[in-house]
Amino acid sequence: MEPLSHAFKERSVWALQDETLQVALNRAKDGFAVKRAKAVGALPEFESLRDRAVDIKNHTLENLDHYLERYADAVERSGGKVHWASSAEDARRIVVEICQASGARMITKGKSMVGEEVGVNGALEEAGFEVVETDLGEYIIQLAHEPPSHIIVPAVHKTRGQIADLFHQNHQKYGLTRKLAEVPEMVNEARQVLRDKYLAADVGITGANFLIAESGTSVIVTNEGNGDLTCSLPKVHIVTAGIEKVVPTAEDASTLLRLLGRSATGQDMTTYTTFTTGPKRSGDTDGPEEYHVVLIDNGRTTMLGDQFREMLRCIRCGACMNHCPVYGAIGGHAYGWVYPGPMGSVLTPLAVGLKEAGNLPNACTLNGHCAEVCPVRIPLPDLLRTLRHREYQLRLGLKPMRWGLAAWVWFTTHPRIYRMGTRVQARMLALLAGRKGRFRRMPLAGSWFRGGRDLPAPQGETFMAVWQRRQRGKG
Amino acid sequence: MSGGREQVLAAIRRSLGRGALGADARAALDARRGATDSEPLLPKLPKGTSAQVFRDGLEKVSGTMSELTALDEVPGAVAGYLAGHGLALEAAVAPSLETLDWAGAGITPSVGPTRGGDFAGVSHAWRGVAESGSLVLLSGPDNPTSLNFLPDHHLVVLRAQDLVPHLEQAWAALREQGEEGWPRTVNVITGPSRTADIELTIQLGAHGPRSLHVLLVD
Amino acid sequence: MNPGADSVGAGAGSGADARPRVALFVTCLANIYRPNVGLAAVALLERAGCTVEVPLTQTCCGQPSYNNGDLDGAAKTARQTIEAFEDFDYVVAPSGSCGGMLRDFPRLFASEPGWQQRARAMAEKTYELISFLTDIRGMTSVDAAYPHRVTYHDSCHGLRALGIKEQPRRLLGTVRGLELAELADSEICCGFGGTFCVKYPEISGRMVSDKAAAINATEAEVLLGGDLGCLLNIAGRLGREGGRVRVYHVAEVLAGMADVPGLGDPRQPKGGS
Ligand code: SF4
Repeated sequence: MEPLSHAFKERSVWALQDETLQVALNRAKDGFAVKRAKAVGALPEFESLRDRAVDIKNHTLENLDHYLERYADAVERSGGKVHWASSAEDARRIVVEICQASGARMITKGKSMVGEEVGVNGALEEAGFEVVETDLGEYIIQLAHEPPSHIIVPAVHKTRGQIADLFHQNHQKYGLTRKLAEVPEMVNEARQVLRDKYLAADVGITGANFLIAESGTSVIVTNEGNGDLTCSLPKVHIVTAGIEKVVPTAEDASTLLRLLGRSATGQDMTTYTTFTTGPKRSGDTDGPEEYHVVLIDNGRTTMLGDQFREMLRCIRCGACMNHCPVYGAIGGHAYGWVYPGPMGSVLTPLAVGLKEAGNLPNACTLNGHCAEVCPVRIPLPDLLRTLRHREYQLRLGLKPMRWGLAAWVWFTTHPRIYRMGTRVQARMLALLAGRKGRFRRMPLAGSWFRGGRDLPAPQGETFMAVWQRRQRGKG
Repeated sequence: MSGGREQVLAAIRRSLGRGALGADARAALDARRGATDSEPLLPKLPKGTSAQVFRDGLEKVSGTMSELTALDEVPGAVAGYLAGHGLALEAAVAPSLETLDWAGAGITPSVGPTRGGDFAGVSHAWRGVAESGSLVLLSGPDNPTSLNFLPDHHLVVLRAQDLVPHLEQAWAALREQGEEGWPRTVNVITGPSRTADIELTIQLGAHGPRSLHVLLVD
Repeated sequence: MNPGADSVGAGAGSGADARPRVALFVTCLANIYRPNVGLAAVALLERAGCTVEVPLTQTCCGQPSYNNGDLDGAAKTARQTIEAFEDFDYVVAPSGSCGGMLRDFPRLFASEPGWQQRARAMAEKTYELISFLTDIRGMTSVDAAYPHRVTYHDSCHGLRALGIKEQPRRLLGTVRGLELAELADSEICCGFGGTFCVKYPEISGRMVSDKAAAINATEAEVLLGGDLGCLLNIAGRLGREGGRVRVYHVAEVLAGMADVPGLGDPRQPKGGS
């Protein structure tokens, strides 16, 4: 999709003013964090599992070529076909070609973040296919023509009323004309509509949470069962996966699974963890006849070679955004691309460029909550700071900011002048504030006050001045 | 398409700052027990028999379970379940369970895969995982995957001797089956289908079964 | 309780460390905004058996540069700080954020081994004030009275980079008359974030108003914290809302020096406290 990250500032302000969105965000805020904390608290081995997970991912990345080859060979042995896509464009073309070759008309999709990343849906629709998202959240945003606002709960920004309206508008054509109000009846109606799609689909496309090298297996994790219907009913199953998804063995995947569910939704184990290997075997009475895997690079090999390799450990659990106060305030759409929150603020500038997405790494207080909960210990704040450094080196930031920083560095390396300057500043501000002890506004400092806060005034003297006087008094 | 493969692999090697690994290095990687080359780190299970721990895990995710003493009791238990839920005594049954005396329990079985018309599906689990109350089902001619997902009620026969503490033991057992390797699909199922996609309200039966019932046979 | 003397446990008074020379890194914000925090820090350190010195050539920890991508600028400021502080037994700052930055100095000198070594040596003896008192000096109680209901905000850098959580609570628990009402979401960022708060004022404003709401919900009279940046932000919001919650740095209360107006309070002390 076309990134809108350059408009982050405006979009974040809209988001703050969008009352419906704020209702939805407030609902999400505590839920995830509390559930995760509970699940993590109940597993004493959680921290050691995190260490393990880091080791698993690091080792695999260091030998990524080997494990991908092992994986690809195993897929081919099981009767599947592996396609390698260097770019988003390659990936789109490959998927479209497979669908065309199979003579498909209707395609169902399980949730795939990499699919969103490379824009699979758009390409398929352009090629004339009917594409139906089957994850309920993805289905809702597909009806709304919106990108996901969360990587686990794509429609978390929508309220029940908005969803009822969407269903009402879009389900008339199936003869479902009653406007619904309650969650269970909405889920049921979607189930009914999508059931027919599953059964009619010619191709099913899923993502992959993990790829297992030893057996050529791809793993998907869902709660709804939509992924399973997508990959088992149509006669062609296509898996789209980033190359960083591979792990050596099923045991390695199991370690990561223990972290994934707990970090994402606070579940010990997600409802359906499905391991698919190749097409249906001879004698099987169901399952697809063709099995394709599209392995997607799209910038990942670049990350592998620079300071952002650690980001490739990401297992897309969403914990970082669930604990991010900025995400909690503005939701996912303000970020303007596929991946929101802390992980998105690292990935988006790397994918679409710092010129487009320079705001994202800056829109962070570096409070560190994301890194604290990241199951694979990605140092997200450090990576964001590294992006800020890159931005500074490329001279992409605002000019006044650069001048201000240069002046500050000069000031801080001239201590006498620093002492004098701060003394004058403290005195002046205290005088100007007068009895009130704080400012309600101040020229040149408008941004502080735009945050809806006063500025407390200094006490009047600097500490250095008080201290020096005290030392003289002693002497 | 093999051009794509070489291109991606070359990019990886460039970023890793090395060429392709030699045969020895690759053999050494193949010889490892997984990425960390160590025993898997297995969480300690709560006290109790595996059946108890399994049941607790299953019930935590809204699954239910009855314990039977012999395989013969399965049709009767299924009939009891169906009647208890006000359902007709019909079920789509996995071929592996075909030989049970369904008629004796008053059930009309349809044996084989389903296309969605069945309210209840009965299949058998290859392993049960105590740690999480999960079922491991293998696809195959005798156990079609569609039974696991299309019916509203999924009933699963699990033998007590097939309970393992962790998922890892299931993988070890699968590896021992050798040559044949993995079936097309291994479903690890932990509770009935659910969604929280509308206002984060948990709702069972999103696309898959609304309820999951385990028949544990001693 | 032993009136007149703060109790200092086993950590203090042993061997060469008997009376360590501690350099106070006062921080820009305490220097300019709130000298009382610096004075409180000195008082607490002296009561913990330290000889306190204040290097005159100190300025800023360099976070504005570091966090805005100007690593060379941050390194320049850091050299200044290292030269001023490296000769002391300890470096102590009344801020988890600045203290954490000093500890991060070695990262700035990846390509200058000489400086990196000096940075590392200094980082290893750098502490945030309250955790230094409890963890290094073994302080277990203070001799102070503060008969108020207070709540406490855990500033993110202190909490996550330095593991400061129960140390201030432990000492606050020994303040006579003080009642601590825990703040819901005390570990959630207040929205300050250095230049973040002026680059994205609307987002920052939302975060701090959430924080203010949580503070008001505790019905505390006073908010305490260990970092002036966060406290200025929160006090600014509480003031804008016209609330009655006063704001102090935790050191001011522990040192018995919270007898001046709080952050953003009118010049005359409120009431008679
Ligand atoms: S960065 Fe970490 S916390 Fe965020 S989605 Fe990835 S794995 Fe999860």
